[in-house]
Amino acid sequence: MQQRIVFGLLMVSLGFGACQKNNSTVPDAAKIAITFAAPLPSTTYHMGDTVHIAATITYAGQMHGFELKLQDSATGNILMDEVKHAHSNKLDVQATWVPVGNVEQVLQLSLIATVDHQGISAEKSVTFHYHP
Amino acid sequence: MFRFSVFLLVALATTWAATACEVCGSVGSGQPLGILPQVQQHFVGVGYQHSRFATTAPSLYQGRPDEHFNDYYTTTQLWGRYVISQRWQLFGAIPYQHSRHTTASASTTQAGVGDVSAVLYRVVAGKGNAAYQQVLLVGGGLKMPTGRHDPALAVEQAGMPGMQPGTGSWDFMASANYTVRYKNTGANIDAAYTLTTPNAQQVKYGNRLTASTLFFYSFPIAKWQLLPQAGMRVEYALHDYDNYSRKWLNEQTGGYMGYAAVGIQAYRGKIGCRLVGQLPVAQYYGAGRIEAQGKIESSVIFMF
Repeated sequence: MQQRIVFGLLMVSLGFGACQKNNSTVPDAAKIAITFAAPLPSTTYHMGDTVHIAATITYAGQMHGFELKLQDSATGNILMDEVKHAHSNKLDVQATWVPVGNVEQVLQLSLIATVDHQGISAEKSVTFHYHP
Repeated sequence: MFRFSVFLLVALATTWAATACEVCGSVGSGQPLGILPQVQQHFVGVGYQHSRFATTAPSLYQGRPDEHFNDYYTTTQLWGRYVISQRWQLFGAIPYQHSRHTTASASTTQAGVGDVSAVLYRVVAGKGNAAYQQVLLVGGGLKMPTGRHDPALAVEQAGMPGMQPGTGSWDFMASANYTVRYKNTGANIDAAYTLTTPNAQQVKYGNRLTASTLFFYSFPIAKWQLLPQAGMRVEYALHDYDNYSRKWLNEQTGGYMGYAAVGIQAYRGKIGCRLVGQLPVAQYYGAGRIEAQGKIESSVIFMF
């Protein structure tokens, strides 16, 4: 009798776990909105300056993270590459970068936001300059 | 007729708070109480559990390598039993959690007092005699959000809420435990179910079922009573919700783990101690990305 009780509890518990409600929103990269507050396009920075990066990502459903990448447009060298996992429908991105060196550069800052684990994502970029 | 034997052995397993996060292996599951002698005695004790998980997560971004990290969870808890009457027993636990998340380049640590829990059991003794006995315990309890849980912490923002000592949620537990003994050998079957609720941030960890079968043999050496034991344990968890109100189901969490367990308990007078090792023998957790590496559990109790 007691064994039937324990077994019955097991089966009931497994039955409760048979299905879970899930948000049925289909991932749609077109619904991702990325807004850069800083740096502004075509801004020129000089030696000793700090580049403040501020952006907001919003989406109709849950996002899974973003990648922030800074690249030298002429050489393709990646100067900064950060990936963060985050689960929300709104993400605030804050970062700083200090330019160094004596070479003039055209820099492309890209923000890639991902909404699922299959890689559906949106990307936005802003270009600025470094004059040592 | 309700009757206890002096050497009636009862195995109890209660799952404490379960914490999890997306593909980071931060799963902390319950610590069984072990086989307790002399059912009518109160006791207090200290328990310890250490578990490890390894995670491999493909990057979401092109050109980036897979992410590898390890998670280590240590729980040290003050726990005890209060015998209310011949038919009712109350168990409680206050855990201290230490979690460490390591990657190739960084390590993050969180520590603090976890969520307090309490379970009330009704003892139902079956028929038996001096050589053969069986007992059934049925109980229910809850886990309270007393542990430290800060939604502003970086680990929470990075999708690792399971790193925090507390869950921020009220959870409810139901368990049943059956033990049968014939002379010096015995077996125990245990099942426990944890029904979770969302916390203030709408994070809801998956409901969890644990079940175990344990075989033991009891024999004396000098003034000690030894109980070597071996068996199996299964843990099954549903997916977590990153946001329960929006039904954001995190399908990278949840799954099952099956362990082979081997251990020993020893009792002398009013002192009892226990050491058990568990190795995973079958598992599929976190969509196959999280791999349990094993657990070790120990405890010391003082009966009075």
